[in-house]
Amino acid sequence: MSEKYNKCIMTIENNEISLMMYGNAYMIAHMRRGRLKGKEWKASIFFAIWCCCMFYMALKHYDLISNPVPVGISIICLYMMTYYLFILPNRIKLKGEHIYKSSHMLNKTEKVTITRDGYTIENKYEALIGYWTDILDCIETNSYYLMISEYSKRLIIISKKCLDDEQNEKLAEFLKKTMPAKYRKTKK
Amino acid sequence: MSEKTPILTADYIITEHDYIHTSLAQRRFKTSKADRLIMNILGILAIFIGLYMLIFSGDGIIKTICWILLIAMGLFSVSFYEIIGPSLVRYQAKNEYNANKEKIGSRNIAFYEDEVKIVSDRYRGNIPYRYFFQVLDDKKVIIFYIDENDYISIPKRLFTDKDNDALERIKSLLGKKYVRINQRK
Repeated sequence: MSEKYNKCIMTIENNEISLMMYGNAYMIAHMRRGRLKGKEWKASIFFAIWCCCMFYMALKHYDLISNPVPVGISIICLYMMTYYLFILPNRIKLKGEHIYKSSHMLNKTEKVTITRDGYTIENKYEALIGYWTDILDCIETNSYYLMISEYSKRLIIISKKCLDDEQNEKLAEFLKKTMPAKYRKTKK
Repeated sequence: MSEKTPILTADYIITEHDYIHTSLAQRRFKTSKADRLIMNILGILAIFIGLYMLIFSGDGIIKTICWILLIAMGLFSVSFYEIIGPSLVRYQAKNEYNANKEKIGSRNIAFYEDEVKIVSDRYRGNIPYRYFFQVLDDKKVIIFYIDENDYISIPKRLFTDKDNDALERIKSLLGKKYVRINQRK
């Protein structure tokens, strides 16, 4: 990259990612781009089928013994709703925490350098260089910024704890300006 | 830092075949022998039962179709881990590679006595052997896992017989983290 375009916009020292933060971020990443995408829609389809079964059973005066098929279907639908809304998100979150525990790099203190075209994340052992054009999604939560890269499997997480108010505002503005279509703010 | 002599170095770029072999190796590692055995047994049972019933059972188009379906399911079960699964993995890996191939750059890896140095246009690392999560040795690739999700694969086509001693040394440095995958097909 030419020095002219590589000018540092911001340097974030002591970026630290905790286990819970990574698990949560992993779950959010899957809600945007993975197995949790559209979970509400999938759960609502099963809810609709469950409603139809309940309506049918109501018409048959809840005679469960002579109508085993709608009973079976409604039980399956209840399980699938629970699966998509509660079981799967929790499982994904635990998977994220498992990945964090398996890594000796994710728990290291990082230095993040933000430039016009990209970012560099460095710790004692490695340096990861990325470009904003690789980012598929940029999500701001209450406690961190999460970026999902098309190129790297690693989630880019910048904790708000290591930012003061001015840096936080500057970074949010920069990300909104650089990736307007990909930037989102959530309440989580 | 004083100049260290590397045990082994490699300069390469991941090709489509390397990427496919990496994906296949990962799949092979994740598939347990028990799962394969169960699927094969169930498949063979389904084929035999279907054939037996088709030949010796009574007439009827619906019954015939059911037994043919059972035989088809048996064939699917038997061929899933050997043919269908790898084919799907190949297809997906090929698509992933083609979608990202402009971003795949060259990589230099140097193995030292205490660490592995990796340099590419997007990554620089000096990672001690103890910090790798796992290393999988397959027929065509060696995969170094930095964590459960993130890895660097090295195609074995880079190495010759002269490098065998160096590779054995690296395996000994990795210790328990080194895993040799069943290298049948």
